[in-house]
Amino acid sequence: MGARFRGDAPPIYLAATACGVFVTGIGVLVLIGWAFELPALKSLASTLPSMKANMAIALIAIGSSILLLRTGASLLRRSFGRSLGALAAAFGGIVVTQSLFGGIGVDQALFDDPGSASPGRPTVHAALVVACLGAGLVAIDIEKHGTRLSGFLFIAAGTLALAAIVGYAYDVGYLRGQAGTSGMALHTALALSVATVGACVLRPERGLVGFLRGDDPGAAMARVLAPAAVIIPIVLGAARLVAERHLGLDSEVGVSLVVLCTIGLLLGVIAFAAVRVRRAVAERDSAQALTTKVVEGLSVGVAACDREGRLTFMNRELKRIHGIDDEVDTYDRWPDLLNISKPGGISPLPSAERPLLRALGGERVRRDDLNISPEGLVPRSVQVSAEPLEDQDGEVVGAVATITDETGRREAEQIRKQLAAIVEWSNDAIVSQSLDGMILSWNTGAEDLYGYSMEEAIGSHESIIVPADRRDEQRDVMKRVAGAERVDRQETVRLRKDGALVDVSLTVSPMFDADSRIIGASVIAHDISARRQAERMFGQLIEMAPDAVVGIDQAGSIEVVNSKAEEMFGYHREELLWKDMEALVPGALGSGAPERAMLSDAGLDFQGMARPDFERSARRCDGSEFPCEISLATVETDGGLLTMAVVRDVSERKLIEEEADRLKSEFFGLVSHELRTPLTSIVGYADILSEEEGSRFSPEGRHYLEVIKRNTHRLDRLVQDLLLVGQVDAGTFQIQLGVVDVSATAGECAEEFRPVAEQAGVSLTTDLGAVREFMGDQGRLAQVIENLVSNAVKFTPAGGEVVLRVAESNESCVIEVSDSGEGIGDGELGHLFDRFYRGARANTEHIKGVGLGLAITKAIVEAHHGEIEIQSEVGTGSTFRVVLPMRPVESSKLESVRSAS
Amino acid sequence: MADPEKRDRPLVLVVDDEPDIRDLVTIRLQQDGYDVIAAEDGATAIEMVRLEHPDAAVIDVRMPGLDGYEVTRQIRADPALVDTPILLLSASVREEEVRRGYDAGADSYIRKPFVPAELREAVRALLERAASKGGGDRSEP
Repeated sequence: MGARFRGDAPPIYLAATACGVFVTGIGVLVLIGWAFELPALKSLASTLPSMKANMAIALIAIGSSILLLRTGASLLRRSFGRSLGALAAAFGGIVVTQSLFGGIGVDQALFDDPGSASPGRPTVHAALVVACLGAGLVAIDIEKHGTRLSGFLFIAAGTLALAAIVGYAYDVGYLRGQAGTSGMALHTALALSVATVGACVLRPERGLVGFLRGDDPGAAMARVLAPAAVIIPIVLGAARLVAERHLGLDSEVGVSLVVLCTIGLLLGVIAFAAVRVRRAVAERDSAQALTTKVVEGLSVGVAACDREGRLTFMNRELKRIHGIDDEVDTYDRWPDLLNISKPGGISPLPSAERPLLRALGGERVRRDDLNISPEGLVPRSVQVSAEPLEDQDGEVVGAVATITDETGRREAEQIRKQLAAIVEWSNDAIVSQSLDGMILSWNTGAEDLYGYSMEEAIGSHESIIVPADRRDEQRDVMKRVAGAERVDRQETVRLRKDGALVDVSLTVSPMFDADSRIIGASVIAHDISARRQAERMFGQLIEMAPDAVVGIDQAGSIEVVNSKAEEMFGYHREELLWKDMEALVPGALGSGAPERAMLSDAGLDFQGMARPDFERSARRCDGSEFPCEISLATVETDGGLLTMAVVRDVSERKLIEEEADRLKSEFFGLVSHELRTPLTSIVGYADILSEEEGSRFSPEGRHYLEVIKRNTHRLDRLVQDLLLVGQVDAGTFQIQLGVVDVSATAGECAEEFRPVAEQAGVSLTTDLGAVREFMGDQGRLAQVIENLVSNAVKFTPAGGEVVLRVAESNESCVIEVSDSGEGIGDGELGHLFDRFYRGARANTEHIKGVGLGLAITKAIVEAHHGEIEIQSEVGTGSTFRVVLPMRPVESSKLESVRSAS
Repeated sequence: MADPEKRDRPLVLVVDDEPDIRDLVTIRLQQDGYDVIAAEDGATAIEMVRLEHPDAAVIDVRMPGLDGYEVTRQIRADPALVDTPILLLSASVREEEVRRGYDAGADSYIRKPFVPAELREAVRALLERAASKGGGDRSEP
């Protein structure tokens, strides 16, 4: 902390100037006295020694030097002043040299000085004072040592000058330099004293005067004690001399009185000084308290350390930045607590780089790239400035640092930059304008959209981009914005610089100043011309669609219709719009809210994907209903999710389907009648023939009759199979339930096939367990078993075996037919149940059959709610396993079946 | 032969437009020991029922003119003939046709082609049932 000064500078500078003028004036007057032989000027009184002419010149030099060296003088003047000082010092040096080593004959170079003890030569005493003053003035502005030296020289000069004055006062010749010379002239002594004062106050902020002018307690004390120390002894000494000389007092009495007075006066002065010191201390303390308070209250962190680098002060803000409890005395634990880290990082800053410690090395540090990372808190970005604290002599006694928490400001700055970048590089045109339409800002997006450059646009009126027919609309928008309203997604048209119109969607928001007054509007314009075009295309496509297309919003009301929809429902377009979809197709979007929600969810997840068609009944304008098929798809639009329903009138198709069904039935009726009637005759007459006439036939004739009967039987089976397949297709296939003895049925089948098997050289064995109370269709089950056994026998080579098993297991009836045939390859397994599918071997080896057996078997098994599975290994054989539930229908239904039959 | 009680063998009426089938059924029934009269269309059949009062009638469903259902319906509609046991003969395998037959008032139903035993069994059952009711009131099946 530098020395502080009391009072204003000018008076003390004026004092220096006054001294300079006085000294110069004395010198000039004395010189005039010498020039015109005026003794009054040369020596004031005839009894007193005269001032020598060269001394007068020296005084002029010193006085002028003081004037020229005054604070604030130009460099040239100060150089001249120093030169004059040097001249005076040289003069003093020459005189002293002469008195030691003999004259060099220049004493009376200017004026004769007859009758003097030392003609033309001043006393050594005075010369020493002049030399000291001159040298002091030369050194006065030299940093540090020069200042100190000049301080000493001035004190020496002052002491010598004062000695001369005391010599006059007490009439002690020696003190006046009356050794071999006439002594120092009185006005020389006075002038030199004044010159010393002038030289001392020349740089009032430094040296002795600086110290005296300080507001520290020491200065306060010195200010009181120093004058007392000079004045009290002089006055008391003078008083003692007067008393002894003129009142005849004894010297012992004089000394005693002087001692007593000195003690009394000194005590008084000390008491006075103590009061002054105490006041100064109090003043300083209050100043310090104020400073501390101010520093504590600063929103800038402040830290100070002493010369050893120990932290001596931290204000509250700095503790906050470091996350340290305000009440905790932390100075001992520093630097553990202060986590200063490197730029952008977490690694701690080496202590040698710490600004405060670097400042101790005498440099001023300013860094704005440091972080403070308090334990458990968010790192703060800080700006740190540190500088050394120097004492009056420029010695570093500590350092002080200010730390500014920049986190908030930097974040805000970053956000502001980001926002600016967003605005600048947004694809949308972002324009701000005053409420009366003056354009204030214009981003690149606006340049692209409207074609005006930023320079052209800013300062122009919005009317450059608002087409004439949209002015009223724009006025309304701005009126709403002025009322603090935000206008969202206003779709309108804007005018480009090239005269073209562009479709835009506008969002206009009010802009506020710091006092929340609306000062303008930000207008964000999004180019929707591409979308408009797509919409027009979309609209045309919808219009062209051969089906009715209806767009439904999330509330279920109709937003889009095409002309086919008008035609289909019999309404005009205007009547359809905003109508509830429920009125057209009840339940089109599902019957309840959950389904609607599901639809919208589906829309979000599978945007644009059509949902499967489903059939509903639709209602026309006149109330009549017709069957329709609806496909739903969802489309994301600016206005929210739109469900597009494609409605197809299927009444015609229904009619065709019904007709097709009727034709199919008719066909089956025809097949039944027209094929089976002749078959009945053939079978019937062949039977009669063999019964009545068989005995009269030759063996060949009987064989031929057998061939007819066998083939008739085959044909009958085929017709029955085809009819069954037709029934399965038509969904009219039904089984006749009754209690079936599955084992017995299987046994009969086995017996039926035994001749065939024997003929093929295949052994057919059975393993028939009892199955109690099985409900099923006996004829159909027999068919299943026949099919399976027939296949097994057919596909088993001679020497192989076929096993038919029936068992009851787990409430199921299991029918299993195994063979030791070739097995079925993986490629064929999947096709086995296809109609008219015949295995590869069936074709190559001329095995009979049309390939309906397994398809029919499967249909029958499924009609019994059973399952059929195949295990097959090529080369080893196959096992067909049919598992049928014991009760294919619920018992209540069974009862009705029983009673009906 | 108008009075059925006087007959020593039951009289069965066979109705079919197809002569081959008509003859086949006739032969089979005669073999089984019945007297058989035959008609080739529905109208004739009704007339013959009215005249002869057969003990049973075997009627083909599909015929030109009056079909089997219609013949059945008319017989059932005539109080004098209502008790005549009727067996319908059809080439169709469709369940609904079977149901239609019963709805019209038929007592039994067999499908073509049939084996001789089927026919024999069906006619026997028909006659037994009629006899057990003693020619009295019949109930719907």
